[in-house]
Amino acid sequence: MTEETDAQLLQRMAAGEQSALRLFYDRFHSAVYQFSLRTVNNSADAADVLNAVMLEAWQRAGTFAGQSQVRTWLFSITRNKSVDLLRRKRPSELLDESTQETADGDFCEYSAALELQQQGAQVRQCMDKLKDSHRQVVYLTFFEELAYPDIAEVMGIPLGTVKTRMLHAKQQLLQCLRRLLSKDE
Amino acid sequence: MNQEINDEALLALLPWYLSGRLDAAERAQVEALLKRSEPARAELETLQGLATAVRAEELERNQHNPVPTELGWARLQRSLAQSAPAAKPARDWWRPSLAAAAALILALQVGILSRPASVESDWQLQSGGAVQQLTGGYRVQLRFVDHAQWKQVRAFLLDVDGLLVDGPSTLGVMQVYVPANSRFADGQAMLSYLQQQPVVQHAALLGQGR
Repeated sequence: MTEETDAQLLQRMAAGEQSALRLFYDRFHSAVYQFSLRTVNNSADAADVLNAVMLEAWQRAGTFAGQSQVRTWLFSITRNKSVDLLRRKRPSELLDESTQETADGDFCEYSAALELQQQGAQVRQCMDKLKDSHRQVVYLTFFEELAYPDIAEVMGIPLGTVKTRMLHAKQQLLQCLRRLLSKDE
Repeated sequence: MNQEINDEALLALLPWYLSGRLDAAERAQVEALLKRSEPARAELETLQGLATAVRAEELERNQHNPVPTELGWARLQRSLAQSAPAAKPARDWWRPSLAAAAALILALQVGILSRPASVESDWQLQSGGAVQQLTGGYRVQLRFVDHAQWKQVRAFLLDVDGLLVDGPSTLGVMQVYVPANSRFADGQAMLSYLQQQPVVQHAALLGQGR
């Protein structure tokens, strides 16, 4: 038996079939929850976002136009819900996407690639220091392995901004790791 | 100069070359760059290390943040039921229940519920009244971290299907009933899980029901 495609599941959801929603939920709930967690940073809020995203997917299944992948569409809803939640909770901070696209400039030649793999705590610390919008790009690129046009769609930003954020995030990560690793020596 | 600009643009694509998410034309251009440029190969190697480290770290983080699969589904079903249009005009029969639930939540928050009669081996819900006997699970003593918010406590209790059976005491200690189910192999596994939760400051197994 062939597995239903994501789009077929959405079609059945649009027809009101809750069994399709259950399959859809099983397929995507983990990715939605974990991606949201990278933005909202606590499990209770991520659970709220998961619920809101799945509810919206159910209600808007019939409007999915098929111009992007279902996963991209879903991540886009997730990101919007997560940002909305953060805006409600900490309105004074977020989320000026147009600013701070700056980096230190010097291209980092740090190449202790193998050593990096053994520095879990430092990697976490440095990831946490990234701006939300940069951390999301890194996560979607390296962990979810989304193509950069998909990331642009998820985040609602131009293609060039995705690349710029990735470049800056990479530089900041490497600089941060270099600092931490040199302290340990 | 155009070549340099082009090379810069291609270097920016390396993260997606690594994950195999470039289209054929872009991939061919990046491969040509890697063939002719030593710095590009070094950059790719650095990115490889970074990507591996980030993936490993994210995986570990995921393990510490288990996804609320069944609880999330149950909650979604409740949300769906609430969002569905009513089939007929609703009567106000639910209002007393809602008020009672709100009162209970408020009472739990401020810790004003009266203590139930002590029980030997089975436990009862803190709400008393028509007593619900709880058997076959674990009785756990819990204290939450000082900065825990009610929302977090509630999420925690929902996660473990926990029911408050006693407390909070003046020191903030509660007794919670956690049902035995296939999720936890035994009481120790359940306890370890509780102790790993960020919202939990202290957890101890008091007993197991019959």
